[in-house]
Amino acid sequence: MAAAVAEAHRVLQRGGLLLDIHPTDEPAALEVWHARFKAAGDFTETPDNLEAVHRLPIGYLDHDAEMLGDFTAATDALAEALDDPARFILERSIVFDYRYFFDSLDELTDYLEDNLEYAHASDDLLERATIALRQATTTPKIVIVQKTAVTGLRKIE
Amino acid sequence: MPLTQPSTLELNTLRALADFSHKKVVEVGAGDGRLTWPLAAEAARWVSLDPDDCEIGEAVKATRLPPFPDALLVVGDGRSLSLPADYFDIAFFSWSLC
Repeated sequence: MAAAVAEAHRVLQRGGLLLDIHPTDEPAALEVWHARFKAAGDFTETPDNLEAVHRLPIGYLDHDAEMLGDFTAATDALAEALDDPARFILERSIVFDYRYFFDSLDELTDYLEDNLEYAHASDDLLERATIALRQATTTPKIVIVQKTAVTGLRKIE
Repeated sequence: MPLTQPSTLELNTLRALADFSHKKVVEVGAGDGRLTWPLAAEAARWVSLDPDDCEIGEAVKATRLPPFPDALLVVGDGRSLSLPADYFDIAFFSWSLC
């Protein structure tokens, strides 16, 4: 990773921006959402609409420790790039919730089976999700919430 | 990461940190072009790299916009190619540094 950052520094002109997006090393959360009063299924990501959504936390997915370690290493690589202030300075870093929406538990489990390297849902977690889905008062969605960081480093020289 | 479509929130967050308009951009880890096409339309020149030729093939097929004469999708990881030094305005690691 340090080599990749070094190569980015080489190809950037002075004042150029190294822009990175990757998940943080926090486990992804599983939630069940259903609309409070707007049309079910309208989960456009605006603050107004999020206020219209009831979010029920279910728990966390199980991740492979090596994968979470890769996310940590990516963050460390960016931090190391800042060790020499003559090369890069931190422009800005933002953490946001990346959300994956599913219409059913089957859809979720199919997704996780297709992407085994990403995460695993325990039987207990799926059971809690099932109960939450039954309790939803409008058409629910199952949501994976993955904390994701976007970071910009400005090349100095 | 196995994503299909970028969310508005993801694109807006990226745009909050970087102005892609009229910029020369190299994207490392383009994957299937999920983030390439929404952002490349704004740039002056866009070079996407991915070591997986199947993914680059998907990215080419995923083009949903008019052809970009200044967009280039290449199989590679950025180290095996002879990218020019001191050339790009933005080096974009698209879920690829990890």
